[in-house]
Parts: sequence; structure tokens; C-alpha cells
Amino acid sequence: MSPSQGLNPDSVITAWLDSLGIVATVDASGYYYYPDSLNPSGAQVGQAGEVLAVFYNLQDLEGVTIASYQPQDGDSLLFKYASNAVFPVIFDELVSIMRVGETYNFILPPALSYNDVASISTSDGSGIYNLQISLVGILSEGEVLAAELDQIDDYIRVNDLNDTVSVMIDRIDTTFLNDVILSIDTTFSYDIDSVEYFTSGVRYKMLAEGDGPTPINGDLITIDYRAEFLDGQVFQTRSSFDITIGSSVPNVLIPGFDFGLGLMEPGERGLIIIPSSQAYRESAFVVPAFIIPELIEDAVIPEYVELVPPYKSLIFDVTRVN
Amino acid sequence: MLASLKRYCIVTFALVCSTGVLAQESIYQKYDIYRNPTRVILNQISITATTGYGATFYSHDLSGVYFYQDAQNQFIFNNNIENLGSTFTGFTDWLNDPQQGFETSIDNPFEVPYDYLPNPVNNPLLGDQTFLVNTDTVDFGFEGTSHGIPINLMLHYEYLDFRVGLGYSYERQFVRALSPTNFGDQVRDYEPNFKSTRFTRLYGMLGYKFYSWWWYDFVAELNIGRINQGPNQFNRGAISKGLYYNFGVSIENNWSEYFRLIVRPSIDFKSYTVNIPDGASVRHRQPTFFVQFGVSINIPDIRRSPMASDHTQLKHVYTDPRTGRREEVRGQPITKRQNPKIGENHRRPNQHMPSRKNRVKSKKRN
Repeated sequence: MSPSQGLNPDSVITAWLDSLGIVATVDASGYYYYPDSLNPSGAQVGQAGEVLAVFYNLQDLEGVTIASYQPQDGDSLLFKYASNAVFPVIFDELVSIMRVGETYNFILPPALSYNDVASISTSDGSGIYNLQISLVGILSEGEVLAAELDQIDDYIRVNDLNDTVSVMIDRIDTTFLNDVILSIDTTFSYDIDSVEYFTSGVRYKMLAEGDGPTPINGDLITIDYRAEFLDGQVFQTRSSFDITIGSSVPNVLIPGFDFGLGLMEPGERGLIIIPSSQAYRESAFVVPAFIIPELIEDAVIPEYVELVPPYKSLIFDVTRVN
Repeated sequence: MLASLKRYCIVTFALVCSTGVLAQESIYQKYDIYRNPTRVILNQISITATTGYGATFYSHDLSGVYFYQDAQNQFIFNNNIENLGSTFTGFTDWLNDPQQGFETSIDNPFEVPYDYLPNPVNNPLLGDQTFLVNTDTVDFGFEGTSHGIPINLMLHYEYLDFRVGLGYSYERQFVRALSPTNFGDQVRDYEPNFKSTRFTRLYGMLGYKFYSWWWYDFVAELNIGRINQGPNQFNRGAISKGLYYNFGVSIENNWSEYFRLIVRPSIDFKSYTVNIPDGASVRHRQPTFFVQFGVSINIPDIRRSPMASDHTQLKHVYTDPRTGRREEVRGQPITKRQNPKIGENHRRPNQHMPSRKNRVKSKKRN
């Protein structure tokens, strides 16, 4: 048994702070905090629904890093503030004292951190964590969504989705490529449209023509699809997937996908590009990410959080089978 | 055929009933004592009325079906489906009246590509996740206890220590939710689509008095008959059932030859099968434990003495002053023993005598 196990967390934290000569403030909720760097001129977190950009480093009191996400790991992590979209839930309260450009250390007793999460533990067994948070930006959700549309347009431009012939050859699979070549040899009858833009932010690019009526609400259709992010990372594939169109029973689809499928004729293949406003929006931000499966198992967060981080545009490469 | 059988039963019954009468015929003939023949025959039939409490243990094992649950519904449907699609229509209310449910999906509504959930962390809707199980792969069903109030009326004839009878009972039952026998942390209770119902039973009874102690008799009884479920709650077209059996012990406190108090613990053994329209079926076990209490009477074979001034306590012969007919009469009400022994005196209060209190006062004055 570790020396800190079974002791009052307050005693352990204060002893740890004293041993390092750190003067920390204790919050009424029970956590301790002290700044690593301050930025008095930085914007302060204020409104619920704002989107915060952060980095973090999670350690135990022995200094063992449990999880970390720093600038060298990629773009800052986004989460929607005060919207029940972050775990641990104390995270919202922690960042509320921060300004952009500041870094704080928060010493979290078990009751405020991961008391009920078995997949995370501290090396000293105390269950007390040192969570260092760097707040690097505060955005409105509208700004984030607008930036997404720009990224989508960049994606369309970079991938030449409006160049119908080259797009076909780039994106279609081998079997389909053979068909195209045969077609070129004969009449080149594929009438591939350029990208369709919709006010919701959804973009649709037909890759192969279908034949027949588009589905209406309540229609059950079968599709094959591959889902990926704008960076090309595939996060889900499904084949012969039965799905009901329309905002009715049994399960409601994300709006962008439902809308895109409604454009497709039987046999048609297309790309449905969906900004997060028509998909999973803020999803949920979990620190650290490796506890997501357990949180899903415990019905703390939805399953889609494991696949789709906050504010991610999605691309569905869909073939309507019937 | 049926008519001749009925006739045979009636004749047999009449012969059996009259056996006791014939045995004593000579005494009454010898002294020319009248007894009402209707009373004499009716006296052979005991009439028992009871009520009490019944606890019915519902249980069923689902097999041969898929069980599906989402946030709003619980369905079952035949698992004899080669390719289970992602959408299907199941059946609800398999306890009593299977109904086709809404079209639903086996996909988790919180997976991609289904809609996003606002306030996703610790959202209460997450607790209502979908659940699907092939019940052939695991023991799974529901069980629970319901409470009922039975009212029972039975007629029986007793010969030596044996009894045979017919009865009818009505039970008002208050049904409660059934709990899952497995996956209790994921599957909600089964909520019947009714709160109360009635059960009626028409049965035959065979009994044997196997023990007597002082004024108590202990009678083992077996009831066999048909049970009818409330037609407004149970879809008879979808239900098949057989006979039910009730085994109980009637504990009878004999107040007199004509009157008994009864306590009767018993157990019903019964089951029924609900046939689901897609070809599946669910067999429901439904044993009931009853504790009933009541009274049992025999209509006296002789009437009470018509003379108000007749204080004779034993059965005796009374001569009608108008007709001169000699008739055996009782001196006691039916709740008291008719021929009390020494120490069992059941004196009736004599309205012409002063009360004990007044007698004491009178003595003091004297």
C-alpha cells in the first residue's frame, strides 16, 4: 500500500505542495490550483457555449505523466465550454478562472477527477491528479463552424472535386476505374456533376450516376459507405447498411447525412461532405482520451465520441445499393 | 352421449346422497317421525364460501426469440430469421396480448451516423441504450409477483372421509411489473399493459380427510378445472392453455354438525402459452399461493323447534298441536352443537327470567 493511500486527500495535497514549496489556492469545490504562467491581458472565459482551445498534461503527484497533449502533438483541442461536453466535468470549472495564454496546474482530489473510472490510476494509488491546462484560445461557435466551411472548401479545391474527369480517376476504385475506361473507349456517358453547395454547409459530389427516384422520408434504403475526416483518416466503413431516411423512427440520422442520402438515386455513388454543424458539433472532449471506451460502457458519453472529436467535418463516400 | 353421461351422474349422485337417509330410515319409520325429505337431501351437501389473499408468481423464459429494448420499447420477435436486418418490427405485450410494435432498429442510436446528443456527458438518455439478445444463447426472461383477492364458492358431498365437489372462484388480481431474470443492469422491467384483471375458475374437487384433532379436521383437496383470464386483458385468440390444478389443505374448525370455520392454504399450478403472430411462442408459468378463510355449512336436516317456549337443548321430537304430526326438531342454532354433552350446555337466555344482574339484586333485597 502506498503511503498516500487511505489518507485524507487534502492532507496529501497540502503535504505535496509544501514539499515543493508551492503556494496554491484551494477552491471551495476542493481542488487546489496555482499558475505556471499568467497573461493578465488575455481574454477570460465567460459565456457558456464558447469554444475553448486547450492543451493539457495529466500527471500524478509522483510526476508520472498519464496523458499529455501539447503543441507538438498537433492543433489545440477544442471543447464547448459549460455545455456538459467535457469530462471530467470539473474541467469547465477549472478553465473558468483562466485567461487566454495562461497555464495553470490543478490538483484534483479523487472525488473531483476519476473516482469512478477504473481505466485510469495514479502510480501512488492516491487517486490525486495534477492536471496542467494551457488555454490558447477562445472562439465563438460561429467562428469555429465558419472555419470548418473554409476547410471544406479547401478540401474541395485541393482534391479538384469540381474537376469531374480527374476527380473520377482519383477517387474511384479499381473496378469502377475499369468501367470508366471502358466508357471512355465507347461513349463516355458518365455525367458527373460538380460539387453541389447547400446553405446548411453540406456539400455533395456525385461520383457515379444512379437510376431511379430519390428516397423520401420513411424510405428504407441500403447503402455502402466509408466515413473519413478531411485529413483522409477513415473512421468507419459499413456495407449493406439498412437505413431509414427522414427524421422519424427508428433512429434519427445526423442532419447532413440524412440530407445527403435524400439526394441519391439507386445505384448512385457520391461524397457527402458535412460540417460539424450538421453532424456531431461539440461531440465531447475527454481527458484523457483512453478512458473513452469505459465512459461509453458506463453510459457517460455517447458512442460517437470515440470516433468523432469535437468540431470535425465528416466525409461520407456513399453508394446507394438500392 | 353427453346427455346419458349427465343422467348417469345425476342418478349416481342421488343414490349416494340418499345412502345416509336409508341407513336411518327404519328409526323414523318405526316411530313415525317426520323429516323434510328436501332438507334431508340438501343436508348431505356442504356449502363452502371463502375469501383471502393470493400471490401469483409470474415467470417466463424467453426462448426462440430475439429480445430487443430501446429507450421506449421492449420487443420480442422470432429468431428463426436467417439475416437479421438493421430494422425490424417486433411484438410487445407478450404476457397477455401480443401487439405489433413500431419499426425499430438494432443499431445504437448514439453511434455514427445517428444524430448527435446535446449535453452529451452524463445525459440521462444514455442510460436507455438499446439491448438485443438472442434468447437461445442465454437464460433470459421476466418474473414477478402479483397480488389477488379470491372469492370462492364450493359445494361438496362427503362420504366416509372422502369428498367430491364442484366449485367456482373469482379472483381480482393486481398485476405488477416483472423484473428481468438476467441483465438486470441493462434491461428495464416488463410493464404489463394492464393494472388489474380477473380470473375465474370452474373446477371439480376431490378430497380426503386425513386427520382429525379435537374439533379440527384436516382435509387434503385437489381441485382440477379450467381457468378463464379476463377477456379485456388477455387475448384468448392468441393464448392456449390447459387445465389448472390446485392442491390445498383445508383446516376446519367444526363448531357444530352444520357449521365450520375454514382456513385453506393452497397452491395453484397453471400455465399458459402466448402465441406470437410471427410463429414464436412464450410459455408463462403462473403458480399462485392462496391463503383463504371462510365458512362451510350444511343445511340442517331438521328445523329448529317452532315453539318459543321450547328450551330443550338436544334434538327431540315435537308434536304439531294442529296436525298431531311427530317431527324431529333442533334445540340449537346451526353454529352450536346439537346434542351438547355434560359441560357443553348452550342454554338460551330465557326472556321470561330476570337477568343474572337482576337476580343478584333481588337476592340482596330479600
